[in-house]
Amino acid sequence: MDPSNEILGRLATIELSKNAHALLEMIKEIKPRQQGLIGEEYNVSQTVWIHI
Amino acid sequence: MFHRPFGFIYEKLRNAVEFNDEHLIRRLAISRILRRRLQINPEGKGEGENVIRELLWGKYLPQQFFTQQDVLNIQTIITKYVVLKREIYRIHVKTNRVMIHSLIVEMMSCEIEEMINWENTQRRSAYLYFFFQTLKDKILIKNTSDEMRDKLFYIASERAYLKNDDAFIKYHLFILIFDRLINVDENKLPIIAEQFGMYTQTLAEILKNRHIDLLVKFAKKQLPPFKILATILDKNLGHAEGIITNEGELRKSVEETCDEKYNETGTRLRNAAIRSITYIFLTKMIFVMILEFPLTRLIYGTIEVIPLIVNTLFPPLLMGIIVFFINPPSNDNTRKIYVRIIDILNKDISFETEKVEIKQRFQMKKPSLLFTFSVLYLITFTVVFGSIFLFLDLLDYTILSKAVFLFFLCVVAFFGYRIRQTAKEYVVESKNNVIINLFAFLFLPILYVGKFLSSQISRINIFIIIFDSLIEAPFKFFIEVIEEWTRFIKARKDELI
Repeated sequence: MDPSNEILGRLATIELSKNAHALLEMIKEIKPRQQGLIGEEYNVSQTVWIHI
Repeated sequence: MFHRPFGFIYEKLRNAVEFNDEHLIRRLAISRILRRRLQINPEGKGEGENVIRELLWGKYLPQQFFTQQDVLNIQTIITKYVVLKREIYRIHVKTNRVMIHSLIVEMMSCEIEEMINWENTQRRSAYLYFFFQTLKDKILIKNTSDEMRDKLFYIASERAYLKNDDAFIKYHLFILIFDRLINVDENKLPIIAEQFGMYTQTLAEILKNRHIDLLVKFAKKQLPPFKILATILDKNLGHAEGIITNEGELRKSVEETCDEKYNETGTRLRNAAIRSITYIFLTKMIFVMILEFPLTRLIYGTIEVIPLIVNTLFPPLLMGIIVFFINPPSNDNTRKIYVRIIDILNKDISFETEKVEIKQRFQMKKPSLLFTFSVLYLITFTVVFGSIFLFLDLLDYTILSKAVFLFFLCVVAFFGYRIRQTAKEYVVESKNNVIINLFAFLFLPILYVGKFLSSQISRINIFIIIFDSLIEAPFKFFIEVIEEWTRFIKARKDELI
């Protein structure tokens, strides 16, 4: 990188607020839905359950 | 299986007769399913699987979405809420049981919806947290404690940023105090039931507060930079920090994202216009047309064709005109969004501590003008409706046809106006244009009547009553029987092999 660009790049850096850091942390920690038997297709039970 | 399209078609029709934001539709469907099923099976045993079945019939989710774990999770949620309700009834003997049952079913549906939509729920709550934390200290409400202000602004943020309805807001306040019931140990439910009165009291106090609407208006004006920032973060999950800490990268991303969003707005507007016109058509137009035709014949002995044709074609045409003439935001708007994003991300928070006072009433700088403007407004009201009446006379309209015309003019204009407002989702500041202001002044009486009519009529939406009380239960029973029968035949066939 050209040294002058490097300096400009550093000047153009945004120092994040506490809230912005917290937001990034929260996004990193997002977990997928708990699926248990992952990949297993949903199969309705063979039992005849009629409630209506 | 061949019965599934019926369930899907039913859900499509049912959702068309009630106008709701798209992200709320599945939650409302879950709530409807639970309400109906718990009437017949109050303990809710085995309903976890049935909720899933019905969601699959309605194609709310793809066939391979649910696992056995989901059945267990949904069943756990249902069971815990049923136990909680029983405990509330036991402890608070004099409580309004209808209200509690309704609240519990709504909360159940919210918890199930968020469990199904877990990743998105976490993402939305992270963005809401950021929105709330960044702006809350800007707000000043005189004679209100900081704690109360925070509660009020939290609700306003949910309404403005997430566009959530009251059911979701009540549920979120509940989990802020007590946690999601799926995580709560069953022996702690009596403790929650004991404190439930305090929760409903807080709820009533906050939701009825007169500052809420003003806070929602304030929050809506703050949305564009937060929404654009959220989209940038969503698009760059692995390297978001690198982008938002570098001005050059951030500027490029803001410009790209704004362009995308401005283009998407056109498509969204068209979809919203089609949905609302279908809604008006299904719920109101068929009803009035059936009424207008025989009534005119009965009273006047003859049918005037022109008013009938005009009254049928006019509403979709008006909606088209309202939605078609919307200009996308300018480059200047994109620049303003970029500058504001820097403000909200930056460590220097001086901008965010500038106070904005939330005042109850609009106060005119010269009170003497208030009377003049009010008289002028009243005259405009008379002139606008009088001119329309005179014009309709020229077309040989009867009183009945005039009433139908005015009804649709007002309701469609109001819906169109609401849709136009959604086009402003990414507009930071609207310009004050004299011609537009004059046009708006003339249209205001029509919009006011439209707002009144749509709020009154949504209360007596006869189609919702017909669907929910008469059609849904037998129809879903029919689908269920077919499903079981198909499975029975398949099992017998398998035995032959």
